[in-house]
Amino acid sequence: MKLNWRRVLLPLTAMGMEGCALYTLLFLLNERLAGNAVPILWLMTLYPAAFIFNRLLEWRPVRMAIRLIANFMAGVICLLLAFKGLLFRGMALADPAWLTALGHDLSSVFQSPQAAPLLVLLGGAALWGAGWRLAQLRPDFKTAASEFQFTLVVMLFLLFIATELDVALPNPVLLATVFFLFGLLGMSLAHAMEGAGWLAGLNRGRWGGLLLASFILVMVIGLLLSSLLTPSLLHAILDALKWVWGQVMKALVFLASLIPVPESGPIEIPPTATTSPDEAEPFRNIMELIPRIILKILRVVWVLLVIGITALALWRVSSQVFDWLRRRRGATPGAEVEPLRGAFLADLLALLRRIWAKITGIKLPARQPRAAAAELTSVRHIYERLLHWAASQGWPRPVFQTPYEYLSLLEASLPAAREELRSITDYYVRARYGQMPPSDAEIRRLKEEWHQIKQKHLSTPASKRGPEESGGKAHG
Amino acid sequence: MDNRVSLPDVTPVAQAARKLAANINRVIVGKEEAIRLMMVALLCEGHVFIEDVPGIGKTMLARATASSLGCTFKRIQFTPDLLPSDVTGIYYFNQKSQEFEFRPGPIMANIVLADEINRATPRTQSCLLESMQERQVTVDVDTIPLPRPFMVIATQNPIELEGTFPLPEAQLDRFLLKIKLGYPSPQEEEAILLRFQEANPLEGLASVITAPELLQLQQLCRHVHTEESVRGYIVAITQATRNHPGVKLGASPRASLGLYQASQALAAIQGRSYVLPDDVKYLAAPALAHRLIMRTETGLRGQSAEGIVAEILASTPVPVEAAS
Repeated sequence: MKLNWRRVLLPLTAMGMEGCALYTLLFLLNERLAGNAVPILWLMTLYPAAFIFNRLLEWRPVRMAIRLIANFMAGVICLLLAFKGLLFRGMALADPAWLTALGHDLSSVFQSPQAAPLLVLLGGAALWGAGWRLAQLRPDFKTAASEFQFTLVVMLFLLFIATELDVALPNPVLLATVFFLFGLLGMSLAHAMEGAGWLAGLNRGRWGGLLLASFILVMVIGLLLSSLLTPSLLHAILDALKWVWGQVMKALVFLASLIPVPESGPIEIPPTATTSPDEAEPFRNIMELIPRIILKILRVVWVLLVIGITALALWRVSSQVFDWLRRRRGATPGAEVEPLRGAFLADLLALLRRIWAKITGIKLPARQPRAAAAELTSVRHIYERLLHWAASQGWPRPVFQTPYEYLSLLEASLPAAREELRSITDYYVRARYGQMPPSDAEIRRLKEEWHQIKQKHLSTPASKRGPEESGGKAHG
Repeated sequence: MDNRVSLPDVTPVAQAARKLAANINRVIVGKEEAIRLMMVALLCEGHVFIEDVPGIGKTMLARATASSLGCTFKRIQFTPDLLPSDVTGIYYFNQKSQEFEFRPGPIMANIVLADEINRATPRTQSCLLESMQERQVTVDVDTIPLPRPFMVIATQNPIELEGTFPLPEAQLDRFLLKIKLGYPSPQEEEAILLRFQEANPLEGLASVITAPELLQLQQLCRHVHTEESVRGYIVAITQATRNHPGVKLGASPRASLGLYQASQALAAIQGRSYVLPDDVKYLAAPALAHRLIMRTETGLRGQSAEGIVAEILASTPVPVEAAS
């Protein structure tokens, strides 16, 4: 089987980043709860072990259920070995005494929690799970960037907690450097492999130089950032955040005073530490200057504004959750998910119409669905998946190529699926640039063709594929 | 208002283009690309600038195109002593009627061949500015509209520069496309010898499209759909010419408008009712390169305007779905 460097290098950089965060977390827990009883670095070996095991499972096409069971069994065995290695070092592997002691420890974990076994159990399970998740990650720029963003936030949070708890991390500068090194290296590699970005544009095809340049750049940035992240700087940031929070609270107290209160008796706003009566005095003077009627109108407007903003925020959050759920479903192998843009809004409007009809008895006319738009989106979505799949196979589309220019590259790379590739490209071009939606039957055929492309790719031996892939090099 | 044409609407354009190309090919051997560009210019009512060495068939192409259209055709041989009034026409005093009468110049035609345009003085060259852009001429105090369709086909020899005057930028900008013919292949050259053995095929060339038909086709091309992102792509390419370090003066908004209209015409010629980024890429060099004013050092480095346009195309992202 041909080694796909994209599927190896990018997860390794993600592993580096996540490893830093997981190490910091486990170190903190070990230091504060388990009295430094667990050798964290040894426990961390479960993480790459889970990744390698799951990657090895991918080499043979097995069913998902079998893969999950195998993964679970391997995880349990590795955890047992971790318990043995970390907590029962003195006993021989064949000695049944450690198993008895382990059984006792595990049962006591749930009755009267002991920190070290609990840390090994939960930490080990988390590490195994993280390794499994890493093996499923899509090796592209989007993943690398989101991994970096997410892990950066986690790292900052953990460093902040460590500073607050006065936990001295061993060599934090090195930790931060390694984190940024992996993060930025992963993103630059992903960008370069997809043939995008200024770095790839300037050094297209020069992999050695590109790698070296990325490495040097990342080292310099990493060193600069890690030297800046000192405890005093963190304290300064914390003070600044506290000051900003104080100002926000002052503003909130002022805004709260504008909300109309019931006539029966005003609700007293509890005094805050940040607002003194003297500071609130100027606001009160301003309020006295404004005529009562204008003040009432302003209050109503303000209440409506607050309600509107809250509704908008809820809307955005629910929309994001909805979108995320659909994407999660779409990530399942073999699943077909249509992009359904605007579906959330349509559902919400339908609900509001029903509520309105129930209250008033008046039926509002329903908005006509934009069928053509959905079909156009569907074709575009199929082409988008084709692009993504082709990029993951080592044939990314250079940004300056038109669909037909890119088609010739794909045809050369996968001659067996020439007709399907041309058909998908033709329909995409018509939909995208001509706004000409295909019929339902054509969409079904396109989906079949898309699956045929993948099947033909799998059934074609590597030696019979086009020169692009057998060269094992991304198109520049 | 969406008044875009549908696929059946552009079919007459594609058919007419095929007929026209076949007719021109009775005289011109090969040169499909040049003929296609000529048809693009015809359908946009744009002017064409043909630059190449002598004896390649520049004038022949222009004359064959004119003969294939049922339009009036005039040829002006540009020489250093040519005056603006020789082109536009003059008011002369008719002694018989005792009145000033207008004698129209050769510009008053549907197709005007400005042969070796760079041999005329800048003063005479400039008299074409108004007619090319506004399709009218002003003689004395009278403004006279030119017949429609109106198209100037200018030729220029890039080798022989003695006694010539380079075309001003304002004039170059008024040409929609610049066409280069290039030498024929050995097979094509042999075919030329055979074709011209007995008689000049130009003499028996009949017109295949009339002027009203051409005007109708031009109207159809204006309504070929151009998606928003493709329009953005055209603008991005034009903007990039203005920001390129090797270019002193980039392409004008007239250039982006020209590229836009030419892309619509090319799409219609190919039987499509919508423009593709491929159309834009294909036409970028013929529509933009001649309008760029290069820096001296760029020329010294051996970089051509066409090379710069190709460089810009190789760095401007094409609007396609992202591989997310």
